[in-house]
Amino acid sequence: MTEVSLEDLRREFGKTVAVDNLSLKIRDKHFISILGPSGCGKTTTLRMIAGLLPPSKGRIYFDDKDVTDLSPRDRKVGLVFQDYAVFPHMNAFENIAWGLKVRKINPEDMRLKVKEIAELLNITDILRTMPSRMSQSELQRVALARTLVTNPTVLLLDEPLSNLDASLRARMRAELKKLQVDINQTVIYVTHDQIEAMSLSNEIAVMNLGKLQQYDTPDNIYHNPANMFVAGFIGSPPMNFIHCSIIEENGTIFLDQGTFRLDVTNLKDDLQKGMTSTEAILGVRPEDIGISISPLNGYIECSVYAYEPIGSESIIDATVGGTIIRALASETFTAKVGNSIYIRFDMDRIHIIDKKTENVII
Amino acid sequence: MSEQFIEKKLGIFGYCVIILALIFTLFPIYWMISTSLKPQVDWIATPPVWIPERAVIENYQVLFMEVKKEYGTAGTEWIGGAFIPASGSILSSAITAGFGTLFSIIIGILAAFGISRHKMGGPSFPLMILMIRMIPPVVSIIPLIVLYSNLRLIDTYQGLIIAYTLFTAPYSIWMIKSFIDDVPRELEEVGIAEGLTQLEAHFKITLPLIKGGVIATALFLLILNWSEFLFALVLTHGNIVTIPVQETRYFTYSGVQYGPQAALGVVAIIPLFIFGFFIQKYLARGLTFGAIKR
Amino acid sequence: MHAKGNVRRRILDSLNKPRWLTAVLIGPILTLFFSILLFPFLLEIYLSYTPWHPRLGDWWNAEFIGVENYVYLLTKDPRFLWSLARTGIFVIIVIFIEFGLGLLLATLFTRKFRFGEKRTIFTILLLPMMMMPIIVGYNFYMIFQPRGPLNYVLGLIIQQPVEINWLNEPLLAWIALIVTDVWHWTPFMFLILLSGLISLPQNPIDAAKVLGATSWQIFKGIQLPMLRNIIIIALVIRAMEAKNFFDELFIMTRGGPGTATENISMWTYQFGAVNVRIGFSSAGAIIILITTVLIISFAVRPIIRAMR
Repeated sequence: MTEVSLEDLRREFGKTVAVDNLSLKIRDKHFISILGPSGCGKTTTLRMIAGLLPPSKGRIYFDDKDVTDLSPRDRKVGLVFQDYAVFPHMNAFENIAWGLKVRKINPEDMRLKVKEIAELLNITDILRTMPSRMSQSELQRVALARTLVTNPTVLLLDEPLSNLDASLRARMRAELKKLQVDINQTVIYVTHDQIEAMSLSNEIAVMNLGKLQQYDTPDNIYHNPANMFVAGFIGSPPMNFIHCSIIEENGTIFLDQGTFRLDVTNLKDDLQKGMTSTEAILGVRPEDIGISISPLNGYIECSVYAYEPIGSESIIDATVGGTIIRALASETFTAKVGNSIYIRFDMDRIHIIDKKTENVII
Repeated sequence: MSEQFIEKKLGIFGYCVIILALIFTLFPIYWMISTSLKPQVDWIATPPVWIPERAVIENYQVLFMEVKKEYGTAGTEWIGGAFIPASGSILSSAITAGFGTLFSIIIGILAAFGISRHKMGGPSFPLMILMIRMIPPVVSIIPLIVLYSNLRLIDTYQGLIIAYTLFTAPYSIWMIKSFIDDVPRELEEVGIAEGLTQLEAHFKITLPLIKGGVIATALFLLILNWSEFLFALVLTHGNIVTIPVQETRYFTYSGVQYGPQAALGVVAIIPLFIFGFFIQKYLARGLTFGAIKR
Repeated sequence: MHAKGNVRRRILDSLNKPRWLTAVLIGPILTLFFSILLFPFLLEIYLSYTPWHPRLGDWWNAEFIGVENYVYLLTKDPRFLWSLARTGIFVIIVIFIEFGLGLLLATLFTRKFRFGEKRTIFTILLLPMMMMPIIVGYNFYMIFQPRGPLNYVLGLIIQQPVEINWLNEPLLAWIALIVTDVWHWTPFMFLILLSGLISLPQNPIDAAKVLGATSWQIFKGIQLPMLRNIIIIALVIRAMEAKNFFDELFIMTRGGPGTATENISMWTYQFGAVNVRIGFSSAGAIIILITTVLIISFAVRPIIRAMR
């Protein structure tokens, strides 16, 4: 039963501010991800929650208890490191049992608990193996087991899948998902991989340069990004950003790129409320762009700049008016560089971003 | 809670330990320096003279001049008559340590390349080299006495230098080998592809890159050779006197000449401290034959 | 069969390199090795079977007396055997004290320090190691004098004049020698153990903290075991040098009083260089060598493993 609250957390290293003004409330038994590029402060945040790093400012609460000054030992959290940090001089069993051993659990109970967790994670047959002989995935499961067996109130995971190769990663993702249901605990998961974050979490906290960008469900993060960073970070291939101006002509509001313009009169009220100037950025995801070989009504003419078939889909880079727009097409769509194609934006799914504040207005 | 309490107690304890360690460490050094500045009457005075109020530099002067008569500040007298100037010993030490180190480094570089790049001598060769150092020096010294006698190497510079070269070679080879190991072999292979010979690749490509390490090794060996006592004691009979042997000559029949002995000690120590300071980074590597790299 | 082929191939491989390259690179060390170490060693073995000393004429004409020297040394000469024993005991005492103190200092140094200049303190603590052994011996000779500073301070502590003649009492002389060696070489242990501690990966230690261990549990269960190899290296290297203890011993007690502080180095010096009973001392030296090799072969395996 643990709800984790971060209040105004800040951490400095000399002159660098690694984490600034971070406030977050993680509901009990929720799986949340802290997502962001390297250096955004996510590992620092995790270590502060674990108690390994004291914050420069701010408080941390587990339920209603202020744990900011407690040592890691007293917080009863579990932490799995990116490099697993398995004790090299002990075999798997001893590694897993160690957390219990230092709490002076009696050997019989210890053995039962280790066996139980080993079965859950499928590592019963390597219990007597030494770490130097284990594969990455085995090491990772031992590290997990070692943490889980102590029944932590909050489970912290620092990029646990980043050391695995692609196919293994996909498989472990599925296993983690299943595991989450089994262990039924509050989980904080740090990663730079958005697919992991999107597929595993109840909520995602997107961070950049030490600051929280948005904290929301994966769905909302995808469909309603709060600012340009989130919009550009989530989604693969990433969202297109096209510079435009908002102009009014005869009562109609247009988003004017220079070479083409879009009628956005229906968004007039929201635009007037949110925009600080007429400089805007049009954001549209590659998957929300319709493509046609032949000219159709309402479609914008572009020239094919690059064409990448990636198996089940193709990525098409098209130039128009000096910018390159990326679109996703089905695998049957073939295009030749230099040819003309015609694209259309799904107007229900476009985003308009204020150029100055970088907030997503629509 | 109790963990933090223990932490605090440990902090104070640690503080005390470090202070005690510093006092323990510095006291003998301080005593030596202060003795070197004391006039004879204060050398073994009771109560001991902690701070030489009557500081003199006679002890140092005596190292460099021959003094036959009574000499000293008013009211004091030297015990015994003659003081052997020690400047000769400083020179002898410099020569033997210097050349011994030089040759050891040269041999060391060659052998280190052979072992590191070419695995020459087989897998147990490095260990064999280590054995040189593991054998008690006294074991090697007895037949050397005989051998040197026959070869008339007793009491010669050559004799000592040869011995110094061999017995510091293990440190030299192992240390330099560890530096060479740190340089990727590929760099030499590029050179060879460009037409260099094996030896040229070693000396023109890798050697410049480990310059710092070689210098550190040299300083390390200098420290060892400069301090070497047993071989100097046994293999010389008075013609060549190195500093450590000279030190034993201050035990005269009429008493121990503590002052000059301490003064020579101070003089001898200075280069060691200077060398030691410069190779601080490499000390761990040197003392463990390259096993531990800071 | 396979193993033999391997060794043969390997030796052939190393000989296959251009011969002159081998000669240039390892020629010098091999030459020195064979002439100054191996040949004299064979000579020593030969001499140990003789009662030779210089006044008996040429050594190559020396009389062959078989293992008489050895038998005498091992069965009828308590003095020799005692020197072996003293050396062994000295080494054990000294390496454990130095290890303990070195470990203590190293762990203190890795904790947060309110001191200020860790660097300077570190340099100071390392000084004894850099000093000439003979000078160390001389310093402590002075300090342990009956009228010296140590006795004076002791006298202050117990409020009575203290005039212990340290270097002339068998047991006290040993204590003095042990203190001297500890002063001289604890910095070595300190340096090596500190290097080791610093180089330990931090993540397992952090993992242990989060798992709920106290500092002591982490130290004993995680840090020390991970240091095992380094500890072994340090102990073995120190033991190797400690058995050769000579310089300080020479200046402080010369093996005395009587033969109370005579260790194997002193014994060999006495009989080999002073009395010049070459044959006799050669036998002693060989026995010392065999003992050393036996003991080392137990310790060398972990060193090789650790050095890989």
